[in-house]
This record gives sequence, C-alpha cells and structure tokens, in this order.
Amino acid sequence: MSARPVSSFSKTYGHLWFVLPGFAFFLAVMIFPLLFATGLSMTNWSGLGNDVSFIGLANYVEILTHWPFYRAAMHNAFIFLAILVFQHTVGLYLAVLLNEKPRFMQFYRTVLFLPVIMSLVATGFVWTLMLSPNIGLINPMLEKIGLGFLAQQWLSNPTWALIMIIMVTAWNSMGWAIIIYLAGLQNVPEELRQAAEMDGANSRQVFWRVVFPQLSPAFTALTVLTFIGTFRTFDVVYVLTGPLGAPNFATDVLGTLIYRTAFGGSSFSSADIRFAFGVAMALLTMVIMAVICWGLIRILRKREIES
Amino acid sequence: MNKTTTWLAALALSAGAAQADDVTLTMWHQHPEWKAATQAILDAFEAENPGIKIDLEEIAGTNYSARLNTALAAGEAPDLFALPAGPETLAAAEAGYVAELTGKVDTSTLREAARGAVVGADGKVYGVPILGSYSVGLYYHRDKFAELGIEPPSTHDELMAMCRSLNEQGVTPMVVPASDGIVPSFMYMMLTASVMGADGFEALRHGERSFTDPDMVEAAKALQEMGQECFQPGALSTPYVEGKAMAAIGRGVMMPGGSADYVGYLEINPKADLGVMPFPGVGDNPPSTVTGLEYIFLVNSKSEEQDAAVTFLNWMMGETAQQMVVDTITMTTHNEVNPQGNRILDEFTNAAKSKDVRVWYELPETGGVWSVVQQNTAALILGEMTPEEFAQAAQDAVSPSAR
Amino acid sequence: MASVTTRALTKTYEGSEKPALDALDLEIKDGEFLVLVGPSGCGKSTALKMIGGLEDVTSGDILIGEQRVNDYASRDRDIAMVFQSYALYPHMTVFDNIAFPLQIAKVPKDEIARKVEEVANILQLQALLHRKPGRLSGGQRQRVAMGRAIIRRPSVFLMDEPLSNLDAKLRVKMRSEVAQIQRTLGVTTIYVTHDQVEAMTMGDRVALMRAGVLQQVDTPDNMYHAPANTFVASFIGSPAMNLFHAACENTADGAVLTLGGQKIAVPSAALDRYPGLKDRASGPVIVGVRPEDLEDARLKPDHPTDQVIEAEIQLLESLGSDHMAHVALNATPVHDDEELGQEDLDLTTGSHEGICICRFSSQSRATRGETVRIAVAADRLHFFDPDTRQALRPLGD
Repeated sequence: MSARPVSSFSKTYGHLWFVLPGFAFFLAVMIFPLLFATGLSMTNWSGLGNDVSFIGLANYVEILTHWPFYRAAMHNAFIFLAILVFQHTVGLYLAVLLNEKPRFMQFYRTVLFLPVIMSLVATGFVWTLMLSPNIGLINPMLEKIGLGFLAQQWLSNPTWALIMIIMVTAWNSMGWAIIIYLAGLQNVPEELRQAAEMDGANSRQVFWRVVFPQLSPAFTALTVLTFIGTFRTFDVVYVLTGPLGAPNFATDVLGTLIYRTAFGGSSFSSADIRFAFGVAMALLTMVIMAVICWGLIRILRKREIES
Repeated sequence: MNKTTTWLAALALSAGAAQADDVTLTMWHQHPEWKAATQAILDAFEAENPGIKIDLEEIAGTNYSARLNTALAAGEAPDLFALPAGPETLAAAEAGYVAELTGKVDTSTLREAARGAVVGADGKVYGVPILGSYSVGLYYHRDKFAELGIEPPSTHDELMAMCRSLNEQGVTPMVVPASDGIVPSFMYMMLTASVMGADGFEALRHGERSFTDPDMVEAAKALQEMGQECFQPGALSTPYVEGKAMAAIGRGVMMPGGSADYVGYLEINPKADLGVMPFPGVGDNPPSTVTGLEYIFLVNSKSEEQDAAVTFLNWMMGETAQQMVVDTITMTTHNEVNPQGNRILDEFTNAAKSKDVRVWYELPETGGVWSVVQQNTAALILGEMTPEEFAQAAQDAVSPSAR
Repeated sequence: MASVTTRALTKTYEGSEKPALDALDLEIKDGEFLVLVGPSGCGKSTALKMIGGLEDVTSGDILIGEQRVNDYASRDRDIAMVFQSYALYPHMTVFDNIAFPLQIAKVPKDEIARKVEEVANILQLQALLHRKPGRLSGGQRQRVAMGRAIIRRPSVFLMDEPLSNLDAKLRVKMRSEVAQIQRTLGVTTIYVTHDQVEAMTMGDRVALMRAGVLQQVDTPDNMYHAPANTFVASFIGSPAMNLFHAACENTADGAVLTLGGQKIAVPSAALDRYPGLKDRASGPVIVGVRPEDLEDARLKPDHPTDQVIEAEIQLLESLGSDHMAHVALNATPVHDDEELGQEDLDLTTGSHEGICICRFSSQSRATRGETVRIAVAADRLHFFDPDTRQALRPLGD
C-alpha cells in the first residue's frame, strides 16, 4: 500500500482544520456582533426607524460627561466593595467552619449554596415581597420580636435601598465565596497546619500565617469573579427596584442604565430611547471592566505562591 | 347599524369567504389584564368572519416596547401591533414598518378627539384605536368613605386636610405605586391640567405657557406635598402590580387610576365598591382628568395578510365590537356607542366634564416631557429636587411648535 | 532534653473496633535515637502523631520527661517534627521557614538571624536562604525541614518517614547526615520508617510494630540475631530469614532437626540460645536460618557433615560479592509478613515445596539446575513455636 506523503504545510497547519468549526462559531456569535455593535455605537440610531447617521465617537464623548453613567458606576463600585468585603470575611469564615467538617455538613453546604442555583428573578421577587412595607414579612417580624424600631421602608429610602440590593446580592453570591474558599482550604495539606502547630503557632497564627496565604489563588479568583459579577449586575436591581433604580435612581446601576437607555424604562413613552448611545455605554463599560480585570489579576497574581 | 358599517361588514364577510384557507393574524398588545375580555371580542370576530383567526399575545407593559422594537428591527413583528398614537406611531411609519391605512379604514365614526389623534396633519392614517381610550382620575372606596364620614375632596387643600386626618386615624389615604414614576407622572399631568386646562395646554405646546409659570409650579408643589403626606409607606418602591392589588383590597382609601384599571381592580377584589372623582384641583382651580387613546393598532408593512388585517380593524371599529369594549374593558372611541350599565365609565365621563386635557405623550411637542417627569418624581417627593427645579426640568423637555 | 515514655498507649478510631495502636509501652531514654518500624498500617505513625499531640489519646499515658502531656497541645510539648512531605510553608523563603518557630516565639530579630545562620551552616543551606521551597530539590527541602526542626533545640524530635520521598542514593547519604546531626545535638529522637535498613542503620534501638502491637524493642543487633518471633525474624534483614516448618527430635546426644526429609544436627550452641527447644518434647517446630548461614559446602570442606543438606538450585542471582542461590526444599515455608494467621502455603506452586535463599560466596561455582550440598551454620539456627510463633526462649531475654 502506498500513501501519499503528508505535505509539510499540512503537518504544520493541518490541526487548524479542527479549530475551524469552533472558530466559525466564535466568529458568528462573538466577533461579528461585537464589530457590529462597535459600528452601531458610532451612529445616532434611536432603536426605531431609519434615521441613522454616522457620528463617530460622539456617543463616547458624551458618556464622559453623562452624569447618570458615573452615578450608576459609583453604585456598581459601592456594591462591589461591599460584596468583596462580605465574601472575604463572612464567606471565608463560613468556608472555614464548613472545612471543620461539622455534623450535617452536607446540609449546611446545600443550604448555603442554594441561593446561587436559584433564579434571581424568582428569589428577587420573593425578597421584594418580604421587604415591602405594606405586605412584607420583615417589618412585622421585627415588631413581633420587639425590634419594631428597626422597621424601615427598606426599598424606598435611598440609602437603605442600596443596602438591600447589596444584601440580596450578598445572600445570592455567598455560595460562590464559600465553594471557592472551601476548595482552597481543602487543598491546604493537613501536615502544613500540623507543622505550624508543632512550631508553636496557636490556631489563629496557624490560620493567618500558614493557611490563609495558601488561599491566595482563591482570593484572586473570587475577587475577579466578584468584580465581574457586581459590575454586570442587573437582575437584582431590576426585580427589586425596577428599571429606574428606584428610589430616585439611588440603586441605578450600569446594567439598568444601559437597559433603560437602549430599550426604554417606561411603558408609556419611548421618546427617551437611544439605542446606539446605550450600545456605546455597554461597550465602554466592557472595555473598562476588561482593563480593570487585567490589572486586578496582575496585581493579585504577584501575591500568589510559586509552586 | 348604519349603512357604512353594514357595507363594511359585508365587505369583510366576502373578503373572509374569498379566503381559500384560514388566515391567522398575529397581534401584540400590552394589557395582559384584559386578555379575557379582549379574547371574547376576538371570538365574536372569528365567529362572524370564518377564515380569519387572530392569535393575540399580551405582553406586560414594561417589556412591551423593548420586545416590539427589537422584533420590528429584526423583521419578526406580528401582523398587527399596538403603539401609542403620536410620535411613536409616526416614527414607526417613517421607518417603513407600518402599512398606510388612509382610505382603507373608516375614521368617520370616531369621536373628534380620537380622530384628531390618529389622522395626521397631512391626512394620513397609520393606525386606529380599536380598544378604546382612557381617562385618568382618582378612584375611591365608596363604602370606606361612607364609613369614615368623608366626601370626595375637590381641591388640593381639602385633600391634604383629609390626608392628615386619615393618617391620624391610622388609615392610609392614597395608594400610589411610584417605583417606576408612572402613576406620579399621571398625577402631575392632572394637577397641571387643573391649572392650565385644555386651552392652556394648547398654549404650552406653542411656547406661550410654561411649567415654570408661578401658578403651574403650585402643581409640582402639590405633588410633593401629596407624596410626602398622602402616599402609603414605601410608595417609592411599590411596584405597579403590588400597588394595584393594595388599592383593590382597600389598603388605602383612594388611588389614582384610569378607566381601564377598573377591570383589574374587580379581578383582584370582586367586592370592591369603587367610585371615581376628578383629581382635586390646585388652588381654586377645578378638579381635572386627563384622557388618552389606548395604544392604536397598526398593520405591519411586511405582513402578507394586510387585507385580512384591514378587515379585522374595520370590524373592531364597528358598533358590535365597540359595545363590547365599552361594556367590558374601557371607554370607547366610537361616537355613537354608549356604556350600557357600566357605572364607572359613566362616572369617568362625568369626571372628565370638569376639566380634561389630553395626555402629553401623544403630542409631538410634549412627547419628551413624560420621561423627564417620570424620572424626576421620586427626587421631588424625596425633597432632593424643589418644585421649581422639577418644573424647570419638565419645561426644558418641551419642544414648542409654531401656531 | 528529656525522655519519652508511653504507657499502654492506645488509639481506637471511631467506627473501628480494632485499635490502630494497642497498649504501646515504650521508654525512650534521654538523647536516644529510637526507630519505630513496621509495615504500613502497623500504627507507627499513629503512635508518633499521638506523641506529637496531633492525634487524641484513646487511653494510656504519654510522658515527656516526668510530665504527663496527654492533654497538652502540640505547641506546649517542646517537640519538633519532620514530616514525610516536609510540610514546608510554600509562601515563605527558606529563611522564614527555618525562622518560623522562633518568629512565633517572638525571639528578637537579630537572634533569629544568628540562629538561622548557624543552622544553615550545619545543613549547608547558606546559599538557599532566599529561595522559596518550590525552587528547591528534594534533598534541599528535606534539609530545610530538618533546619526548622532543630533551630528551636526542642526536647524531642519526631520524624515521620523523612527520607522516603528521596531517591535511593540521596536517601543513603541523608541517612547518615540525619543520624550524624542527631548524635551531635543529642536530642531524644523518635523516627518512623517502614524501611528496615533505615531502622537498622540509624537507630540506637529499634521498635518493630505490627497491626498496632509492639513486637520487639531492642538494639539493631539483637533484633537481627535474637528475633522475638517469626514476624520480627522475617521483617528484619534482607533477604529475609528463611522460615520452615520442621520436626525436632531430642536425643541423648542432642537434638536433630528434620527439614524436608533431611536431617541436621543441632549443636549445643543453638540449644543454649533457644533453651525452649531443649525443654520441649520432640515434635514440630519452626526453624529459621539466615541466607548468610547457608554456604556452598564445596567451599567449606571442614564443615561437619551432619550439618549439610542437599537441594537443587532453581535460580541464581549474582550480586558480585555474593551469589544468591534460590534452592528448593521439600518443606513447608512460613510466610509471616503482612497478616497474622495466614495459611502457610506457598501460593506460587500450591505445593509444600518451599524456596530457601542461600548467600553463597562469590567463589562458589554452583550453577542453576545443579543439586548442591549446602553447609548449614547450625549453631546459628533460630527456633520458634509453630503455634504461638514466639521464639523458643524465655521472654524478656
């Protein structure tokens, strides 16, 4: 039998045929829409009608002085910081507790992870019902246990509303923190702790000086995931306080702002819809997030251990 | 039946008979709460027009424009769809999404205001109101008013006095779902309507009157006071559905609402004993209402069944359909159809006699005002914006036209 | 520095009836190097961890010096441990790893620097102090682990198979280094290994364990020459001691052993070492003979003829210095390594024929397949009770 010799070209590049289907798919669903959106963001298209003209970077320039964009970004940043602190404290603490393999560990783990797998739209709706000052459960419960003075118009007070958004987000995302930290903790060899203990460290010193530094990959992953998650948050806000980020935009985030700009926030008028401007905001947000993510990963990776 | 409708009905029947196969028309609308009543009318249509079926999809208001705009841009919009009369209909027509209906539909049976809203200055017609119009006023629980020994207030001062006294008695005066700013915007529309009236609105559209006129600023101030003393707790985060339910079950004795809301209230609480009053006037001005067309229906220019769609629209504008609309859903736009035993609609008709102004968003000059007001009501009520600033923001959004 | 004593130290894990460590009694003198050896699962690591305070004590006592330390935390026992995995802190430099115990103890910085320097000199780590463990070789890591243990000068060192992750050559080198360091510092050391060569070469005394039970504690020489039972006999020494069922006949002239149909006269020297044999009536016995006590008879013309057997060579392995001859004996071998009460059948052949390993001198010209005469150093035979498997001599000897 004689086979045709394989050409050196196909030896070097033949494997690319196998990449082609995936690449074509990627091109169709990622690259092309991205280019299309980039083009669209340089027009003044409102989303309706044929009135489209090229306006260059005017949309981007306008964003720089668009106060709602900064307001929304500030809220995202605030949520990010709060969730970050929460996950690296409460999340870590719960992970450490779970790592001690308590009785009913499976149960606790399931309960703590459950919010992650439940639809935020559904749970968010339940939260609005619970927090409602009219039909909610929280205020009457506080009154019943003698803490009536703590009762609040949770979602109508601008400060509290943002805190509630943070709380529900924290509740929802804590499962990730726990799972990521738990995985990290379970990778720390038992002998490392024992060695530190032998060397005279008390349990706090064992944790902070020996165990915690081993968790830096988990810390990095969680920080970056939290950053991405909180800066693209939409559903919590949309469900809890509506597309306008009620009250008075106190909970408006980039997600709702972009949605409202591109699709409208009122069922009575679409006069304020500016689709192309919304696309420009979305793209700018994406670019800024990518840059910050890159920076975060660079900084945090440096702390990690060479293995 | 008058001659025209008979002729049209005959045309419709023959058109239906001419169809070899069943035609199914898809139709999008934004009143899920009317689904049953609307479907009953469609069933009647299908019974009279064998061969044409209407496939109705109701989409909740907050998602409606986003979905429709996307579908239109993608060329996947239904044969028939609803849009607000005015700027948005014109934009859709300019974009070529809409088939022109001039001469194909008979607008002569429409009430004058409705005809004015759908026939453009150039005489072109793109859509027709088939599911009526609405007025917005102030609902109240008649039984609760009787129990409390109070009468509908007619001025803002009376209202405020009532709110304070009700608050002291532990009764919530007014239920307002304010989280999306829509209901408070309607209230502001009614308050300004009480000050300027229809003539004043005309003047405002031509730049001869302003939201910042001292008497008009009083309207903003009135809204602020109400927001702070009359609304239920947590009004600023109460979503529409929750507010509507609270209003229906009487968690609050008054609630601003439209003629179209009555069906929904009764659905939630069949025992509700509701009455309607015009919204209390600002200062010495009489109480007021605002009126608008429900979304008018347009025919998709890309539809392959435009004839069937026109047939359907004409039937819907006829007396049979409009009688059903006014008896089961909302106010009709037909000039010869009157409600038969629909007390609330009668009350709305009466209320509208005090001082009635068309809603801003149907008119090109004030189309932009709506969203600005909607976005600012929370700030006004929270005191983060003064009534003057609020009025100024509204005025900045007016684009006056020459007379 | 201190002695370490365990009294009836027992560990039973939850969900298991059989103790992992069963009433261990050990006395380790101050400055002594004791090796705990045994097959995996014998309880040696459990014992070490209990002494280290890393495992709870089910019952019994641990004393360090005169102090009962059962309820002391690890850090309060004044001990240092070297782990099999070294357990170096991967995020710290070598310097910080070694300095860690002192940093925890809040020793002044300049003193830490001085002591680390000193330890680094002993262990030749000077050039590596600023590296992290990830960039060290296995041997270097091992030395860092040692450094971390010795810097504090604890009363007791615990070492848990510290050399088992090293390659064979390095292991031999480190073996002597570790022993050397221990001798220099004179710190009481308990060293756990499964490798009997390490045990024999390093320890002052060796404690052999099996299935949670201590079998024998003694000097390496005694372990080798006077095993307490067949398990010790077969575990210590490589190749292992040959053990066979045999019959012994006491006559007026002494004893005669019948091994696979061949008779071997048992000289009095052997009977003196195993007085139990003398006291017994004639009957079955387990006989043990080390390979080096079996020599090609042609090289020992003076060997008493009644201490010679014949067998066919099945396999011949040349080690250069020696020839290991695997010969077939028509006797039932005794395998006593892993499990107690294992049936004494040679599973490879299914017969009662056993392989006996002889260490012939390199001068031997024996070839495979040949039936050779083998000189048995009968005065160095070992005798065990076939039922209890204990050596036929008084306990505690």
